[in-house]
Amino acid sequence: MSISRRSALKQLALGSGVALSPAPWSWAATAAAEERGPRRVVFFLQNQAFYPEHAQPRELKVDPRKLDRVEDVALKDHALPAPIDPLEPIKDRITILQGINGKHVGPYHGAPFGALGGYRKSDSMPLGETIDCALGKALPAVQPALIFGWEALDRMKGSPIRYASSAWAKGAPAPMFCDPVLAFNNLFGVAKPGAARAEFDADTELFDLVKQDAERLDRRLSPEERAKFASYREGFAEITERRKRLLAMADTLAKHAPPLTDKFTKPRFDMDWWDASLDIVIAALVARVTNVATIASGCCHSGGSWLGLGLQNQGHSLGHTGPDNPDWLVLRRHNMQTLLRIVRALEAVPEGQGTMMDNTLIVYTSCHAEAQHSTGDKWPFLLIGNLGGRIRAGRYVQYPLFPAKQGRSINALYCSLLHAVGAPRDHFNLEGSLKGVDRPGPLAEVLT
Amino acid sequence: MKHRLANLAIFAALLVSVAWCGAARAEPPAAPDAAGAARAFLKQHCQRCHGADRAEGELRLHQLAAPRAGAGPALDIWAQVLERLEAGDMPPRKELQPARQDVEQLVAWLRAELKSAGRDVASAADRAFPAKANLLDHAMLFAAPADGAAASDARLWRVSPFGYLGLMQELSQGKLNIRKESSTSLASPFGLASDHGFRDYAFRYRVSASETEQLALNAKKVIASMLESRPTARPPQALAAIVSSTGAPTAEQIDRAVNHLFEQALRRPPSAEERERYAGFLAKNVAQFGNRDGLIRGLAPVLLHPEAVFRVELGDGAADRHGRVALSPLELATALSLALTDQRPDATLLRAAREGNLATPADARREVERMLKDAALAKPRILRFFQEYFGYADAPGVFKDEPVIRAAGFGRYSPQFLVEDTDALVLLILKEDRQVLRELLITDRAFVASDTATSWVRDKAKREDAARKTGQAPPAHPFNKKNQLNDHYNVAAERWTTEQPLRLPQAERAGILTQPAWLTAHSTNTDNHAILRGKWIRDRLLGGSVPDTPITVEAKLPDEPEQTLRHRMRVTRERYCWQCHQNMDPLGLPFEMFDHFGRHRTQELRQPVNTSGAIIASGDAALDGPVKDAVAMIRKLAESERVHQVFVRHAFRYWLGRNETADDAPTLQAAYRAYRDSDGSMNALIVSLLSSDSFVYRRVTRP
Repeated sequence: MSISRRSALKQLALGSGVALSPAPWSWAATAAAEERGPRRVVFFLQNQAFYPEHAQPRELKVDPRKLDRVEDVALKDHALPAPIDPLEPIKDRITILQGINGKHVGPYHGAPFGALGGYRKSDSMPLGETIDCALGKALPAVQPALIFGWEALDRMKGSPIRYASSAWAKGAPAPMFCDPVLAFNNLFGVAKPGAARAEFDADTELFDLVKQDAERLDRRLSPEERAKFASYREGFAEITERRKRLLAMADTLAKHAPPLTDKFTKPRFDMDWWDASLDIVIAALVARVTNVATIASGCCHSGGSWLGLGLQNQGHSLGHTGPDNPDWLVLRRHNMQTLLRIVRALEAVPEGQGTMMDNTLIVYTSCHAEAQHSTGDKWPFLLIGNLGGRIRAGRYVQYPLFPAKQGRSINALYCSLLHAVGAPRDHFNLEGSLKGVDRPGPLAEVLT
Repeated sequence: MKHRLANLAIFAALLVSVAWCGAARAEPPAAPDAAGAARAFLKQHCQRCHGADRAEGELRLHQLAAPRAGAGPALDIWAQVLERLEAGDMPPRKELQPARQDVEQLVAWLRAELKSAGRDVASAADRAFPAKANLLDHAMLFAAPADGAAASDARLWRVSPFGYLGLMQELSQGKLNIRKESSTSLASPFGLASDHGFRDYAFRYRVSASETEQLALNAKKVIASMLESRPTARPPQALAAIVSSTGAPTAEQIDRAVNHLFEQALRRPPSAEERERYAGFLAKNVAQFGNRDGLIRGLAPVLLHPEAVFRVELGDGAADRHGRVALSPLELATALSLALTDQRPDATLLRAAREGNLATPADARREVERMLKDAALAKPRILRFFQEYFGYADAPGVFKDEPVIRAAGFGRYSPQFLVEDTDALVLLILKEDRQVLRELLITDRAFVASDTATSWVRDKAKREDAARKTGQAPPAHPFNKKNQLNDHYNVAAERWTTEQPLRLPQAERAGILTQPAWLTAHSTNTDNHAILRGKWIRDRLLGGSVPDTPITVEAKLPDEPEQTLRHRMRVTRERYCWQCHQNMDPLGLPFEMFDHFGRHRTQELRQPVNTSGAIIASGDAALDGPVKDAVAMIRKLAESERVHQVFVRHAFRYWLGRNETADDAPTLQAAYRAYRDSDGSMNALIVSLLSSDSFVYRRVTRP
């Protein structure tokens, strides 16, 4: 079952959510959020695996199976392992989390929705809200959550919009752009100069026209069908509302819109479109069109394509190789370079007394957890940035593995992120049969 | 299998059976002393295993607090009780069974109590998914002759990706490439669920803002293609008159253009109000952007119209004494056309609708029979039904790693050609249209490398020419390290012929379930998938259901490559797991007579392969018992009336786009009779379903 985002958000606003301090999402909430200071979060999910070895400083020998307490040490005295050593220059701003439990997600062969939801994965219908969408509600913007899926070029062209990583609520998956041109048109179309601006206005009228037909049909529907129809009918209002807000910030958009170069319009390789979508993510953050972005490399499934990186193993077979395979070193380091590109771009933009990066957090992990054939009991994460001082940085934190008392879950990590942006909850999706997965509350080792 | 029991978990025994409770039946009123009745029920039927003396599955129910707000963990336990009662797998079949009425009363009361306590329980909508359809008791549908007024609820049904692209292709007159995932394609923003089972259910899909933006882009692309002039396809006159002129179009030309696209896309003229609005919009765009671009932008909204995006099935006219209305003629024409094809209704259907000859089940029957007889009319949805029912078309989605392929002795693995072989077999049996399901299950015929056969015949002269030039004999067959399709069928290259289908040994093969496409579609990356195969038999042939894997179970077999799958599956025979797995594993393990590339085998890991299994709790006593291998099991199943009835239930789901309810019993029984009495004709089954009350009538809940 799917419900529209607007409906889902309305339900949340009516108090059906589980938030301790629910932030009823609305355009008006933007001002309140801004009072807390700017905050933004970027998620990067690499499919197939994030091997714990790839995030383990070489000199740090810790056997998580024998731990009975949290190992929490400074990173400054330890060299990063080769797969993530492109981050060495910013080591003081990263935290490595090891041993986080996500067995209940079932990440074996990938965890669509579950990786960011902290609940059982599902190929088609999410069982609840995911953390990026939860943060999107807490940090409202024109595009509450900007989600991209990276895949083989033909697949991205064939399915320009997918639903795989993120959800507004149970049964309400959030769309994931695979086509960066489509995303560009959605977000920066208003920034096109001259005649294109007139086209944008005409499109707005086009949607208004069809909206009238949708409303006419809506009046003939039963309550059940009306609920199903809501996302379509409300979609026109959503598009129109978004376009109005985009028009209001047209100058900013024009200033920050990435140029529509050949990599957008005449892509030759998969990576052309990945690069293009990264341009959009950065531009959207800088232009403040969004405060939350997710990139799901591999779209949370077990395929993938890395044409252009020169890997010997493509697609699913990469996940069968293991942490020592040279292809993984190439791919992981490419991931890190991608993250660094976001860091450097945000560092270049002044904000308050510092830069945008000072108020940003990048979360890197895998939707497959610690391996392609994973159990999810030692799910590694990298946190980059300190989110305006709310996140501890420069740490290596190894949690004892479940069922050790000090073991913690991905739900607790996501709960910590909500605390960090000023939208605290008792827990994140630890309800029903998941109540026993972890105790409520955030990770003390993550928050300042 | 390692697993962890949560504190609240769970009934130890999850014996799979059909349920007592109809998915859409009205819940009976709770008894006045429902709470007392619930306690009595638990005491009588549950507490012997889940009470003071025993705690099967670490669960005790004898001191369970009432399901009220604030009851804490007790609410979770009650929710589990409800789930198991609704699934019909508690109490276990071997125990004294409660009266159906008692179960229904307890379920109704418990649902209400949990709801008022604020506890989220699975909604009726959750049970609308195809995987839950068998929870409706088979006996409730077929045990006694049924009469009554069947109908579907009035509904919208988002067009499928196929239906959407079919319309776009028609409009563009073939000028746009709509092949899926091609770099020059027109992309459908719509997807279908990727889980096993029927994918296009009416309740399942919505359209949100992101898709709408893509629809708008596509609409402009399609209209631009309509304006292109090619020798084979010129722009429609109504549009050519504007696009070929440099002057401003007249009001009449604008009206004609709007009319044309409404007729083409929505199969109806615009209403007066629509004409005014759409013509106004088109005129404005033409004035602003010029004739060509103005047409593209000004007509685009027609392709975003709700009727272009959704199949509207609201019904029309006065309600009958059962509160039902028939689909409007245009709605029925659209429903019939999209039931068989990916196209909007053809001229004959539209004429019947316009002339008032498409209003009744008899009218629908006439038109369906006509379409089925029309050999020139492509009807891809029939083959697609069998692809989704059997699931064999999923074979390319099961990844086999290169080392695994090489270790199995293959130079190249091309599952898409295996799917084409099975498609060809299905189409052949559909053409014969006699005992369709039985033939699909037991035929010893098979197309083997059918795609290769086509090119082999076509290139005969070329081969002979090359042989003459080199002085060598032309190759005797097409198979080599790059093409070992014959190996999947254990057909020696020398035995292979282009005269197909071939006959395969009856002791080794029996129909679709022994075709390499089905076997690989129901395999893992590295091995057979006996559990999935058994689940398929339980679900698709026996009409049973298996609960979802409990969240506390880590569903993983031990990684022991030196052991047989049967041995590795010993973990599923642990007591907790076996309660469910006994309903799948014994049905799936007989397929160990094949490897995971679909090859018949007598040995596994240098030992004679064990192919034994059993049919348990099938619902047809004549079926139950041990089986020596998959072929023997399939032959037994193919003779069962229940299996054929379950097949009809699945056909209903596919063509109605929803799960059946108890009210559909007359439709299902009539469809089964039509199939049985026509010597197993698929056409007769389709005609019956598409002219049924369930298809033609809608239950109306006025807003």
